[in-house]
Amino acid sequence: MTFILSIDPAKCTGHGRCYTTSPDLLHDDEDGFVTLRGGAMVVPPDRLAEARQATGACPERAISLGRQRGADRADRKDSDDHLHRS
Amino acid sequence: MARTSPSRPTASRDTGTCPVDHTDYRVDRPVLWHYGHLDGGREQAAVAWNDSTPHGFWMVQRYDHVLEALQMPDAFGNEQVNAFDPSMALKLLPNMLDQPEHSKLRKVLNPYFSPAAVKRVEPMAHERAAALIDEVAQKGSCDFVAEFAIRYPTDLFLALLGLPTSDGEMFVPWVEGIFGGFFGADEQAARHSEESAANIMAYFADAVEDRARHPKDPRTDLVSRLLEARIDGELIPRADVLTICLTLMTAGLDTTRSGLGYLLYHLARFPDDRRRITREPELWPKAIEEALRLYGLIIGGNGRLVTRDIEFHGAPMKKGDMVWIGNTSANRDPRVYDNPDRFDPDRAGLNRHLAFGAGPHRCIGMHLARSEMAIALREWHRRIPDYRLADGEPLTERGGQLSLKSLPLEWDR
Repeated sequence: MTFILSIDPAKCTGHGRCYTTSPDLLHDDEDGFVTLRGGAMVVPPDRLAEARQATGACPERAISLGRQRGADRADRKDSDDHLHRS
Repeated sequence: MARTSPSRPTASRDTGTCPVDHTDYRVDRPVLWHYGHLDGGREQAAVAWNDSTPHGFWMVQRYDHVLEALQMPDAFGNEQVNAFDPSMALKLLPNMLDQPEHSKLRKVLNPYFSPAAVKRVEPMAHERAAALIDEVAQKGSCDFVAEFAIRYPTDLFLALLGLPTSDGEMFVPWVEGIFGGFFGADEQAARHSEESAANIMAYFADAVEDRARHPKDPRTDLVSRLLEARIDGELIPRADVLTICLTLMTAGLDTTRSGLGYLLYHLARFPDDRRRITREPELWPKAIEEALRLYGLIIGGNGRLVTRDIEFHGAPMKKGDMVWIGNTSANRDPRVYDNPDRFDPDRAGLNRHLAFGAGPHRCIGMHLARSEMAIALREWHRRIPDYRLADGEPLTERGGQLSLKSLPLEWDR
């Protein structure tokens, strides 16, 4: 099972709770927004707990963590840098 | 400052299914009075009408509704932000801008308040905290609010703008003056507020003029950046630059003072909580979040102006109505937080508290506030790990925007 973490740019206003809670998974930019804002990433299996924490930390409910079925092969290829912007 | 607004008596007002609250939230009360009172209102209804001011206002009181309203900037606008007074003359920027103008100005300001920028002022914060605490430590007692909690953020704010921290002492009475009238209910306070704002604007006018002649690196100096930034190809008018400075000051000083005051008040009353954190100082960030949740300070000052007739959870809101967004009440909503009155830095969902608001207008100073508080608390407890409330008059909290009026502490030297 592959999990995708995505951040809704319309809702994210830069509280920074996600990258504070899960600093190994998410990072801040110079303006204080999470670099993944408006994007999505495949969550490495050993980072699932951190992804759940980040999702639960957002006051705006801007972060979603969903299962992606039938795309495991493509995801495995992407997981080296595990970040692709939408 | 205009204090009169069209009277709209509740008798002729359709409040839908909403109860009417007659409480005047602008006046001083015994310490912690507001939280108990807000709990009662929230449990009675999601939305209430308050008729204690000439114009009246809606009160959105539960967590889900507060978040929903904050994420509806089209319906709940920022042209006026003081729920108690929709004709407030004091201008605040970028607070009182709606989209898209608001986000254009926020884009200019955000880099100076990001975690990365905050890290740059941390050495100064440690230095100011240590110096101010050393001053009082030897005395064995102090009024924490007056002698530390307001001086410290004032000095840091001046440093952040590249102004001399020695001007801090001069600033404090001006800040008090502004807030006395911003939320106060009487004419004299309003006049004093106007004078204070004029003094601050005159101070900033000189400082900004000086910076215009001798610009610093705009990548690190906010005022230099404001003087060169272009929005839609235009420079920011000088008057607006001054208003931005005034706004940042009013937003950052009183709130930090208040947050520090309530947290020290809590730790003085509950020595077990204090000892646990002084034993495990890595707990400070969580303890600060929990204190921000438990002892909110924003009440009517996070107002919104209804931009079109709208039915909001049983409330027949009319264009031009004011809405009190109940962040402070939301953070104690038992639907979201179990045992909401308990101080528990390990509680689930703590990160989602709304002490800094939400939506496009979420507090720009949140990262700075967190850092300032953490540094002050570490420095304080390193020097004064044990302290108690001094005997004396019962403590009171200011209405309008909650803050302890004083906090006399004492400790063994």
